[in-house]
Amino acid sequence: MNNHRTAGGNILAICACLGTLFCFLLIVAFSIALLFLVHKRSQSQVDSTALSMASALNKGDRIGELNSITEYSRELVFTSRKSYAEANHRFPHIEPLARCLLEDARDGAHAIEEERRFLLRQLSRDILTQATSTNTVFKSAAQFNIPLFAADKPRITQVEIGYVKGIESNARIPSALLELKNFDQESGYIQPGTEFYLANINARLPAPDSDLDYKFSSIAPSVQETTAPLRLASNSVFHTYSTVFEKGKESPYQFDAVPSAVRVKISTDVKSNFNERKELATTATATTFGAMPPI
Amino acid sequence: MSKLWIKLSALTILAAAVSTLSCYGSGELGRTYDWIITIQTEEVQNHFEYPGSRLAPPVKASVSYQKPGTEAVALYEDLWYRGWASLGCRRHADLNLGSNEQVAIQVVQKSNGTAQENAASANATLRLFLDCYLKGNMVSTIIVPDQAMPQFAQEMHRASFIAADEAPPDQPVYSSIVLHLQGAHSGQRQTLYYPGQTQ
Repeated sequence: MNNHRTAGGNILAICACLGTLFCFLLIVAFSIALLFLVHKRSQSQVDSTALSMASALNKGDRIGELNSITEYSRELVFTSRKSYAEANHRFPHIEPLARCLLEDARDGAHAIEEERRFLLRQLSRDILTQATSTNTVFKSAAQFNIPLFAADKPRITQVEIGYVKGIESNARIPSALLELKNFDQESGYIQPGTEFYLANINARLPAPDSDLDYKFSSIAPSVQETTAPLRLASNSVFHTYSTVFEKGKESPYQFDAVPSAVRVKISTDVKSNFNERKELATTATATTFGAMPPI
Repeated sequence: MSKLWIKLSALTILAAAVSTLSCYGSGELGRTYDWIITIQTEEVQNHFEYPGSRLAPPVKASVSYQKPGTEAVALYEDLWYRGWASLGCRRHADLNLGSNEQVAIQVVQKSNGTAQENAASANATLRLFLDCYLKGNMVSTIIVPDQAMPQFAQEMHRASFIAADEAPPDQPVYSSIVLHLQGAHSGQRQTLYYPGQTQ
């Protein structure tokens, strides 16, 4: 009898131990599930934030249009220079008119470069505004709390701007100006095997117009009247120009190329009941829409 | 070289004389010109449209040419403007007019002759005049929409052209460039002189 009572007591103790262990495992499982949930929520937020920021970059096809007009400006200065040289040589009485038109074309080139710099500042401001407003929205997000862990609200901690490697410009090479086309080929301005200029170059004209800047940005050209969509890209193909937002603050503006992609990092603080704190970070890269077909 | 200038001056005087005999309606253009170059301007909406843009709205001037009475139109280039300021050019093909040809430039405005469009078409006309001249062709007349005539002539002042009464055919013209504007339908005329003189 006594043996039976002892055995029954052991079973109770074992059940109690197993119950405690089960509860502990349940809490651990919940905690792990919470971590996954936090990570998943964070990944979803970082993806949508990166896409939203990337879509703002080429809003209204402003990067594609700027690339195209930059190429048109090159053609105009080149042809105006040739006309001026010919007028000066053969018809001196119309040289003042040819000079006036050349200077007008060069002024246009300066205006376009000025516009490019303005657009750079504008894009930078747009990204910063979006980062700040997204962080404000995140402040109202729900917090996760369970006995062992608590996940804080997410926040954008870093925004970098740049481009996706392998995407060159949408600016087409001059089809009817063979002399300029040959010069561009010799200068290495053209993407091999295509009819587009390389991105991130300063495609200067021959002297004496070599003082003018013609900078092309990376943006996917349209193919058969079809525009490349807004999309997420692998972090490994992202090339950064600059970090514009770091730890909730604006970073100094220090880049000279119009960006077409953005990399966003969102962090969530996860705290344990034992005063341990860990930052859970997720990153996403998105590239903007491609250029529209030229009109 | 001086012979060439004399020849060009003579061509200018001849062009003035010919333009007095020329037709008023566009349907009769083919009678006095070897070529008609058409500059079609249009304000392009939805381009460079972002806050603070200084390029919007650009004006696109599409340039094409044809032999009068034929339907074959050759596209020459597209010019891009912000008002008078030239922004760019997309050349599609060479201007194959030959030489010693009489050319009429016809301006067509698709955006009802806005200030931007008038300025752009005036600048494009001068660029086309220069292209023709350097190839040894003479621009006899520039046909402008009637309502755009005053502002078109005004815009030409930016390139130092001066509007004045047309000199009688028997009086020599000493201006290095003489442009004859003509209203597309009214036949209203305006002569513009460039300050430089032929030798």
